[in-house]
Amino acid sequence: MTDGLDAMIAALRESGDALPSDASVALATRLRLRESLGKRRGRKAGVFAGIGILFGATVSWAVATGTLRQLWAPSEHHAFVPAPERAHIVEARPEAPAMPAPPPPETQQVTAPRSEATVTAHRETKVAVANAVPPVEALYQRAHDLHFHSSDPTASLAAWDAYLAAEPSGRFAVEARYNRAIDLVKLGRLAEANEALAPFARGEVEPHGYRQAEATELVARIANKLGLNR
Amino acid sequence: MSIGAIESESELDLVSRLRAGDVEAIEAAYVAHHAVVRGFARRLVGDNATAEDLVHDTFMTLPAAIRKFRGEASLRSFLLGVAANRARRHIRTAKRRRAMTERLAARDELLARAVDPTDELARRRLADKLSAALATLPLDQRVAFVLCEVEQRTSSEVAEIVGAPEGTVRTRLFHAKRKLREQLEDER
Repeated sequence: MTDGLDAMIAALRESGDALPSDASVALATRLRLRESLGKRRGRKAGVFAGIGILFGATVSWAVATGTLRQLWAPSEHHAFVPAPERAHIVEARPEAPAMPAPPPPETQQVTAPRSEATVTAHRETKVAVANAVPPVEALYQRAHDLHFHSSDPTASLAAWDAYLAAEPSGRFAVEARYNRAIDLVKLGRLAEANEALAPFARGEVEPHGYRQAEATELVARIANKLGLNR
Repeated sequence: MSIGAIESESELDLVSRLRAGDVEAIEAAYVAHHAVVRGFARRLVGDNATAEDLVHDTFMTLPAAIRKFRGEASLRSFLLGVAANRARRHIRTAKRRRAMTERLAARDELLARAVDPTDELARRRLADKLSAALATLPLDQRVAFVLCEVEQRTSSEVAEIVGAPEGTVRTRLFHAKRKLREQLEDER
């Protein structure tokens, strides 16, 4: 029994040892970390910009509509509004047309620039985040995220194809080709998956032996499924 | 000045940059320590993809976690402690992924047919079996087992990493080993 547990412990110890493919895995996580940190900074900046814009717009609106003056001197405001005028508004209401009243012009004037400013700020934030990583790395990152964090192999496959089209022999191309093959397996496109995995299983992919054991197992499983062994 | 002194000085510098919220310092910490954290994460969760998520999570948490760093242990030990604390949320994902792989393998009768007789595959199956058994243990016992038995660290070092007394670590290890033996015995 002890021997069995010892063998398992030794196996688990080795499973944590560095693999030949670790360089690309480590680099991918480093890029992901950098992007996440960039996003976090972008989010913080976006929140502060949003608060600033909202505050500025509110103050402008308050100044334009006179609300600010009312807030500063509420008692004066009541003195300025004569009672008959208020009575006139109440009386006029039944005669008003059934159509909804147009919004007050002051509100329109203030609302338009605020929303424009907000949209611009959002756009700038998004552009800043997008610019934080080079386009090819962003393609890789997107494919990586879809592959490992979504359950949509179709989207993931398309993303790997997009990355491989942009950088067919780039530094992540081998990993991209392998993950693409996994997506083909998930989609049940076994003949294509078999073709894509064959070079990995034969150990022909550089770095030598990259994912060879997994690919061999998958190729055997596919062959079994497609009845190629019979 | 000795190499050790230079290293500890650069670590102090790194820690102070981390405390100041320097984003580049997080990447520097990653470059210096990712391999050790990755190895521990893989052994702890038993699934490489989930382990990678745990590595990412550990370094993302570092700016907030570093406030608790008092310099009594090395930054490497501290990072392992952060990873152990963050592991809870990743263990369920790892378990699900392992179960899926096992289901796939069982469906295709891979285990019975022993499609690939290489040592690597046999080793992976043994590791998977232990990972599955470890998944049934409470996290603190699991962490103690992986650090002491699998990574062969001393109980004082593990105590430093998990922030618990040495006696507690030994007790956790004792219970973990007993439960694992019972479980593996039952499976026979």
